Amino acid sequence: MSREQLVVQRAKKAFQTGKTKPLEYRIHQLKSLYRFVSERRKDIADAVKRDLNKSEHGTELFETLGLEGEINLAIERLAEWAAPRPVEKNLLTIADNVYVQPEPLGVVLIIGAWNYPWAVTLQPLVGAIAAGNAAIIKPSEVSPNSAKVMEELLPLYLDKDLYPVVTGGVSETQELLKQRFDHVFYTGSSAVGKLVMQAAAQHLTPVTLELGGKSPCYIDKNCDLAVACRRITWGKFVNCGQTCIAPDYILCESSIQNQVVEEIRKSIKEFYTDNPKTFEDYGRIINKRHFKRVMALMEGSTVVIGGESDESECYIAPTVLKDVTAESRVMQEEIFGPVLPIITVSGVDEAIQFINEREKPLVVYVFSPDNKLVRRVIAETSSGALLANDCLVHFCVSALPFGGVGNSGMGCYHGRHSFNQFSHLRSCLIKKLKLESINNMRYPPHTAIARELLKSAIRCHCCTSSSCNWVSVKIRPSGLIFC
Amino acid sequence: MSREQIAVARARKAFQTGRSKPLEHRIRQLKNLQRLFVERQTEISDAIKKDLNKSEVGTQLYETLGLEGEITLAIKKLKEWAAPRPVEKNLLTISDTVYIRPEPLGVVLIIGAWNYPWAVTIQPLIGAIAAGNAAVVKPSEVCAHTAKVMEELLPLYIDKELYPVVTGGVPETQELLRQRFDHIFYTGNSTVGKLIMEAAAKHLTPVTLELGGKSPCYIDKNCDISVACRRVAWGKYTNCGQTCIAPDYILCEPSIQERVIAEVKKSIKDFYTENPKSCPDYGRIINQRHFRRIMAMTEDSTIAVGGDNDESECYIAPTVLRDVKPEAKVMQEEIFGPLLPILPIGGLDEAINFINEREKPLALYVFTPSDKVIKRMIDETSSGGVLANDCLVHYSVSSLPFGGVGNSGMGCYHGKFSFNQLSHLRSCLIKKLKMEGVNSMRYPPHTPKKLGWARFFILKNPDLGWLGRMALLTIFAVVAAVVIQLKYLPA
Repeated sequence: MSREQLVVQRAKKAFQTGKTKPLEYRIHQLKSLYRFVSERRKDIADAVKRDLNKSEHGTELFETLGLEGEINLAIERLAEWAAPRPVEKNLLTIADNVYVQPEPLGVVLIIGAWNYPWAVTLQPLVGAIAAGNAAIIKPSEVSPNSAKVMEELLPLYLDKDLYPVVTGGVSETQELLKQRFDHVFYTGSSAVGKLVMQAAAQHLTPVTLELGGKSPCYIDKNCDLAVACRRITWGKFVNCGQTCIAPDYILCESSIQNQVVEEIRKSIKEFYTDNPKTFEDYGRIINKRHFKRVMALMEGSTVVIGGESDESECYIAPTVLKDVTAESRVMQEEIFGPVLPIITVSGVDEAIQFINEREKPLVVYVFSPDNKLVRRVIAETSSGALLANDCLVHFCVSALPFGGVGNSGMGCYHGRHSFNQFSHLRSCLIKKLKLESINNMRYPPHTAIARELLKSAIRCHCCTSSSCNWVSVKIRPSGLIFC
Repeated sequence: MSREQIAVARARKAFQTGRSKPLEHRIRQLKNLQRLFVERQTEISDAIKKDLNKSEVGTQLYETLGLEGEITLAIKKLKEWAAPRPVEKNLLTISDTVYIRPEPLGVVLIIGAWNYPWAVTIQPLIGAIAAGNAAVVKPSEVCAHTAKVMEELLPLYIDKELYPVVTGGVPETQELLRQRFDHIFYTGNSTVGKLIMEAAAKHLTPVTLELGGKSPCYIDKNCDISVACRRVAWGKYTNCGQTCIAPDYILCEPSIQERVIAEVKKSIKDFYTENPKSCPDYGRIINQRHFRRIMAMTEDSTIAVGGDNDESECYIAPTVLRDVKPEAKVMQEEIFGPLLPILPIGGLDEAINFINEREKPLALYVFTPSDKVIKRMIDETSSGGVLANDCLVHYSVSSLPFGGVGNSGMGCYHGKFSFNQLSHLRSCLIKKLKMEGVNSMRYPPHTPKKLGWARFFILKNPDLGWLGRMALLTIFAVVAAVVIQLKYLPA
């Protein structure tokens, strides 16, 4: 038996003991996870520094703070989320107990990504634990320092049979995907997303796929360009552009292109100084392969800011490209790097068309003071999410479901949505063995009278007892019919 | 281009015109669908009679009545379902507009089944139309007459470009599955379910799979066995057992087995007369292949009731098997026929173990007067749905999500769940370009002081209800007023 098989089997056995079901247990594990994040801040920050050259404060801001918030929320709300959820009754169920009971699925697989190795690997884990599952955690091997620290330290805080960390590369992941899970949660690229879903199909395992795409950013010429560009600059160059919801490219009218460039230049200097390479809060590309990939994307386009690079450090300066065309290399794939192309369009009509000709992105950004324009973009495009007048921050609103649509993914999480995603919401209808005479209308022989009675009853089915605000009594030869 | 490719391309083009989006259009289409069931009852019943030998009233009861209810509900509630859904705000979004917007997915594929051909093919369609999608409808070829009627009638009532019916067998379905959809809704068996999901994976198309399994039925020896068996018999032999949520097999203590057999026998007689073969309300097996499949299952078990059959008519009498063993043929796959095996077990503990050793079923039935027994059963097993003290009827409660888990499926529908399942629930956060000062805590350089503010906003940050927001705004207003007074008014 392979290492992966053993781990999954052990997790299944541990789940079957039933120990993850009591809420106290889940809260205990979540509190331990919280302690892990606060006690091991330094280990985590060191690992992320080595993987992505992120500063310690940057790691806290963009990796662990959100995680702490999610853990706290789950601890606070678990009793509410896990409780039976009563549903609307109708005349036929008026004396019954009718509710939806959230239940654990069983053993889930969480495949993390390398760009925010802690956030995107452990945030789903919060939901998995809260929902009462066992979870195999597979951190990305592309961020090897974080993966190693996770493998060494997590078992010191969480139950290592229920929540094992399995490290490894492609072959280990493939071996994992051959095992049977009750849910697979994957964060990464669309290409691999397809393979994950195909593997899951062999076992009829439901999946959540948090993928990516090119998130467009439309800037209305009438908006406050200084503020807009400041927010876009921040959203783009955080983590060196290696953010699934980074604004991938800008669409704006040619009349404002130069001003946009200047405002971005100003913000880059403000955030990262004149020499981002030596600046602590500016990151690096994860590895040479991605460095080369991102550098190649710039070919054929005009660099108007930045462009400097250093392969030995995987450093690419914050870069802006102007007058980019739809056919250029940089527009053929998700950039996932610190390169910001500007494509000029004649107005919002053309921008909407441009967006709709492409795959549905994870997020659409629109910067405009005009509510009507914002509403048009919402109504005429589709994307995982839409954020107006800022970047990235919808990620922190735990009441909003975070996920994609089409090529950008399926399923969603954060806050209660994580809990639901990792639960089975089981319908429960508890009747009594009384009042059998009411059932006579459904039993054969199916006479026309019985049909009429049942028709009335079923029509009332779709009225709920709260919405049925009149009762009329009709007297027919066969008896009384209420509706 | 193949016929399937053309139908899908046309549906996509029609969707892209935007005409399926306005609520008026959706309601109009739903009302047309309603008219179809009122005006074409005879054609529908005739086709079902030829496919499954169901009586006209039986068809209404089990196929179209539920549909009419769902259409009525969708028309009534559409505005509410489709409206933006505000979400809880917090300190950071206090002055923003934050909501979830339901949107159409695009073009969905609905693959129907043959056992309740109208119900399981059209119910998803109601959700698809209500959610603003286009939908390609592929009825099962196994119920040939109904597929034909659907193909002829649907285009006379609803938009034939947006909602085309594509008939055909395996190759046509495979050709359809090669096309790209925005959602695939499949009702059928687990084996084909896997193939559907695999095909969908190539396009990253989300799926809803309404599958099956062996739905166990536990009868507590302390319950009113007469009523329990009546309900079980009804649940089992409706549509000749060809119901995804039929009670597949009974688990009970040996001491009540005889009584159960007698009561089921009595109910069979009440419902279907001494001669079910000639009773108009007793159906037939869909075809000879399934007939043989089901008959083969009786080979190694003891027949206690029924067992008579007639291959030329695909008739199998309502049958009960006794003292069935777990290794018996009838326990190796979903029966989907009028055979009711009884497996004697030692009690609730053994029943729970037995259920948990097997795949998670679509439904779980437990007959008992004891709330404790029900609670244990729910807590210690898993299934799509649970119904205590009756069979099938949870299907008609539209406020309950209907779907499976594990091998019995993924996703759910009925009522608002259909609408949600076939929508994209898009997160929307509308901020303003003001108050940029608040954002400085997130910009580099990342200092401990800024981080402290961020910690405050993200961690010590209650989700505020209306009162909380009002209180906070009042405080801000008072503070602002004081500041203004001090700063601007003469001393």
